[in-house]
Amino acid sequence: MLSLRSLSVGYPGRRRRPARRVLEGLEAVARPGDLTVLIGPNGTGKSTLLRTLAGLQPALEGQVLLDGSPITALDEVERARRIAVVLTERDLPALLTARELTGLGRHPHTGFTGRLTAADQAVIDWALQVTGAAHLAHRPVTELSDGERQRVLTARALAQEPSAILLDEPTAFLDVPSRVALMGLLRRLARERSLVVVVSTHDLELALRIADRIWLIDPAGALHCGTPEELTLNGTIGASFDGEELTFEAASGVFVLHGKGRGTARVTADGTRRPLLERALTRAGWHPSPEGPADLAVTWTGEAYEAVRDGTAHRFTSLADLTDWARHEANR
Amino acid sequence: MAVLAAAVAVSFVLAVALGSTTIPLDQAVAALLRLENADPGAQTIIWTVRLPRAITALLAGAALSVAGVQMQTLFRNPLAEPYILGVSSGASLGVALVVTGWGGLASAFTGGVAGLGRAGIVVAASAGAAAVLGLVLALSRRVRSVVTLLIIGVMVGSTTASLITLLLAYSDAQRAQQYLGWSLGSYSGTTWGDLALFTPVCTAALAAALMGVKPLNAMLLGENYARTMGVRVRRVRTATLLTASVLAGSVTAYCGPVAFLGLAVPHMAKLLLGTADHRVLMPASVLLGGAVSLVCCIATQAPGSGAVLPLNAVTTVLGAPVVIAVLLRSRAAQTGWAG
Repeated sequence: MLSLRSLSVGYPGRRRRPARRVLEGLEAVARPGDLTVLIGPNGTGKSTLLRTLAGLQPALEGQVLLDGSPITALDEVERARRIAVVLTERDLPALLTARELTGLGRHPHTGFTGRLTAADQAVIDWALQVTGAAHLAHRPVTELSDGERQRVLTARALAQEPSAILLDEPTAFLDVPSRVALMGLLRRLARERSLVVVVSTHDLELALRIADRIWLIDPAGALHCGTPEELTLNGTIGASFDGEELTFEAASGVFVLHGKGRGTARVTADGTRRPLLERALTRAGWHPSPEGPADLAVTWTGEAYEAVRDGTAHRFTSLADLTDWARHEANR
Repeated sequence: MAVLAAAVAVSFVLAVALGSTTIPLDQAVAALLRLENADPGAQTIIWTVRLPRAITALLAGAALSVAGVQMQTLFRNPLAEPYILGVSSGASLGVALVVTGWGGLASAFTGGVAGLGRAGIVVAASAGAAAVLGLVLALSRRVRSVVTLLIIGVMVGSTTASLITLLLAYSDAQRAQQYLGWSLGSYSGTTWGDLALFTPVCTAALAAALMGVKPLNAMLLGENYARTMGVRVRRVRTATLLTASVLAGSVTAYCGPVAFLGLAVPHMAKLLLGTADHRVLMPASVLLGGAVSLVCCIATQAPGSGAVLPLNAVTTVLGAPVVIAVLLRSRAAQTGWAG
């Protein structure tokens, strides 16, 4: 259990310059077995918070407790045996294989010379195995793809055999399937090993789908904790992320773009065609409204799209033509 | 590793057997073993000239290579080398002060030898190196980032180097020439008396470096990762800078600023062994550095020609093509690597 008790993070003052507080009065808990995802707009202090939790920078006030004891009370080696990290730093040394890199995670467990015992080797094998990186073991880390690299870095963190793993933006630079796979892996690790896993990400939609608990830092610097559904229902997500061009749609759990000067559009079509048409019209600058009078009515006749606008009917045989026309009309 | 050890042994024997005076191999071995039938002339040459020279070359090569590995890992920079923080510039300044006769204080300190005695040069170089090392260590306590420290070190080195040019510009040609001679580096001239101090200092610092391999491995991923793996980063940084500078400083004191080995041998060792693991890399650098240095030592004597070449010219002319060839052949280097 990782607990934040009235924690303030930031940068200490130096030579008469006052301390710069990035976040203040944080109260939160990350439970073992849960995937805890830290989200928040850019520049709100996610990395500063994670660095403080990892012991890389001192807390300005308050405490970070791991299983009840303050992390500042642990010496370096003891802390390294309990908390492991995956940082955003991306340059890895050459001439190091994935297995050797994973082996570096044994550092707090090995003796004076750093020699790896059979037991250490077994832990390394296991870490590579569960992260799906066993087949990469003998590849140089500089030759790995971004997704493979994150798996190996996660394996290195696991090789430390910690009770908590903190990951800063591990899905940045990854393509969509790799992101989903990595998040899935982290959730599975949390479950199977009863690990505290705290991961920060920019990928809000994925976070809301996959997280057990969300830590949300809003633009004012307040930390909100809860399940994704709780934070959606009470409007915290929308309040933090809605902007001029973006609205969070609670029901679908996705963000929608909206243009200016839009009217309403009603769509009549069957099956998956209806949501797709709605999405195309939204992008073109219309706001879908399922019922009631609308500025634009679009109907799929089975052969063509019929659009009625200001009492005039237009007929389109292709979806692309309809979209182009709708965009033109919206900007008229 | 066994191959490297054999290379060291062979080059050591060759360094003793070959020199500007030709001595047949059997005579050389006989003289070395102080056999009764040994030629007294050969015995004198080998015991007073060649053996100290070979031991100096072996130690200096090992010291510079190990210091190079330490610096490249600490700064995570393939261009880092033992002198990058200005240790040899400090030593050079000390020597320049004494040689050009400007250092009233310095020459009093060295007992009035006015820069002509060998002991004076060694003391001046050590004092200069120690002064710069002290300055850099003091600054490193106040600096968080190694990149900043690296830049500070380079600045200190450049400042010292420009002070030297200033000194040389206002000294007479003969003294400037004398300084230049020293700055070209040489393994010759070390006496058994010198070795009595150089050997223990060097081996102690080498042993300290070999004991520090575990934290250096953790430092491969950068100081932040190292910290989260339980490394006391500041302590390791200070200890590494200290040992590397003692190694580089003592070599400079006895042999002058020997160029290139400290930069090149670490790369050769990494590419030959194909690993960045310091538990292998460090001992390998000791052996490879010793062997390469001995080969350079033999080459300076230009066996059979009677001429003696400047050491720094040899290390670079011999070493640079080797490093380039190794780089071109290596897949790791082709795909880009950062030390």
